[in-house]
Amino acid sequence: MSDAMRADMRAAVAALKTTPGSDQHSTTSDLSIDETLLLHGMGYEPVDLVTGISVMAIPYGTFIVPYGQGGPVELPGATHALASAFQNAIERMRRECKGASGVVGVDVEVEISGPTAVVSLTGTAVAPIKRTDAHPGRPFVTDLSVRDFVLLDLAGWTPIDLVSGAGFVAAPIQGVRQVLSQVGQNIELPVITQALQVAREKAMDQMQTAAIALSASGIVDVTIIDGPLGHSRHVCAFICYGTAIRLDAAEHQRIEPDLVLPVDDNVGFSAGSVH
Amino acid sequence: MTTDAVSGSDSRPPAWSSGLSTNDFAACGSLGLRPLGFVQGCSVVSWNFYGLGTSLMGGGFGTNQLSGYSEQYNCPHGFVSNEHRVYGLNYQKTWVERAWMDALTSATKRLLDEAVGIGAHGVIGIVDRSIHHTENATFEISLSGTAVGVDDCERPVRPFTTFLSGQKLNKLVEAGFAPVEIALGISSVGVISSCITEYQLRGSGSVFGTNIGNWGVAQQGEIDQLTRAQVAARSIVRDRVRHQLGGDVLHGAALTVRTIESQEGPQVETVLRGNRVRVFKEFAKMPTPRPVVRLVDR
Repeated sequence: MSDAMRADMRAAVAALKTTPGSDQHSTTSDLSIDETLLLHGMGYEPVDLVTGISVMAIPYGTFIVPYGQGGPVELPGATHALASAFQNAIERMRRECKGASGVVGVDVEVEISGPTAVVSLTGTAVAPIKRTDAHPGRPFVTDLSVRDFVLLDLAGWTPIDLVSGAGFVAAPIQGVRQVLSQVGQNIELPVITQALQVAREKAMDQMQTAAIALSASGIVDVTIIDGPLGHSRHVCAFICYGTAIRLDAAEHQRIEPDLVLPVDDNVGFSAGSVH
Repeated sequence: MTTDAVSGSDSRPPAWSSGLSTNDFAACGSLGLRPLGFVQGCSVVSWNFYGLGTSLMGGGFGTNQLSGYSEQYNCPHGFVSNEHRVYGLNYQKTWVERAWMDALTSATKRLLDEAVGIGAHGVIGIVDRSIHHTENATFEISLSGTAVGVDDCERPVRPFTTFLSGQKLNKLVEAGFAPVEIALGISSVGVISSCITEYQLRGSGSVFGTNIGNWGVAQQGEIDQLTRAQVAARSIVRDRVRHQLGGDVLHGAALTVRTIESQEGPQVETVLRGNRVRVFKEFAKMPTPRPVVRLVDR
């Protein structure tokens, strides 16, 4: 084994004397070598590092809620801004695919500052090995890792697209009497709880609707970002995104994993703590 | 200590230093790589954010002209007041990029000179650092790595360089990729906000301190100028790195984006780094991977 590897290394150094033809297309990817090999095993290869970004304006005054609101106040301006930012960023990334089947391992960054909602995506476009013609359909975009992508494929499923949802809800400003009644007590704060609940429902509903529109069977690997906004603490934000998937095979393919028992020292056994 | 060692005529090879972990060191041994020494290269440059002597509008007192990407956003309202911006501009800060790339080239050359000096075939496990000294006015790029030799193999004209080491490098070579060099690129795009961008960001336009409304601009929507600056910064850095590849492959790339707020508008800086590798043998078809479950307690 080691001799073969040494021979490979010598061949690799010898290859530095030659240069590939200038007409050769350079591929770029942010995949690790493990991911590249896994992808190759599935019949795909990386094509290009692609990005998508959108900076949306959140209308001035969106986060200002007048006093005297009875319940949670939805903020459609912010919700719409983030939803559009996701859509625009995904479409830009798709346009960069240029004939690839889709984009895997998309790194999603979401930033909400006072006046802007920014969504930034980076991933690797992939295509079947040595395919020269362009992918006929709409390229998929997924934040699944290559490992998850391969596992999904083995189970007979295919990713369709990245879907997202967002909800921004302001908790109503409480009256003095209400505030004083809560001082020094460890009790639930119903207005904030309710605001977060409304934001959550709105966001999940949006994401679900987007998946249904794509004729997806479900959404996997959902990431949730929630909590009060940094610059407007009375606003509860709930942002979620995941990969909409569809069953490609006639039925779900049962995966029967092999069981392995690691025998290295650091796994599964801890010595030295006797009680 | 032997007498020979004291007299300096010891026939044993001198001891070497390396930045490799024990795991990486062991893995490199199986590839036939011998550590020769820890090598470094650095360059410290003067860092002018706005570029002294640069004229943004292509005239005035500046000596440098704008080059590369630029887009002007004219005010659709006509001249309104001294406070109202007549134009907005996205511009590639080529002087910042040049300083960075020059520093990188010098640091790489110094690293390679050290490696060649000790007879290396390549430098592995490279770590790059970018440090701003003294309130951003001085900027340092430094590279360090472990120079290695390959037994029974002719030395390449220019030693190969890679961020990889250990098992990752082993797998790369086994898969049929030869490390060629580290590929790094930067792009820097500045934004001078137009009146419309300003309005979209701040929610108001003002004349002599008086808010006079939205100038007929719908505030909700994509901020075109900022989005295009971000897209341009990413596109420039990818083109720059692609240009370095010459038909090779960029592997394990990492894109870092930094948006710095300034009075004029955001400044977008992107750095793309990765390993330029060359296919030296046919990529054998991999078997379909078998899923496994590890029997462990936690």
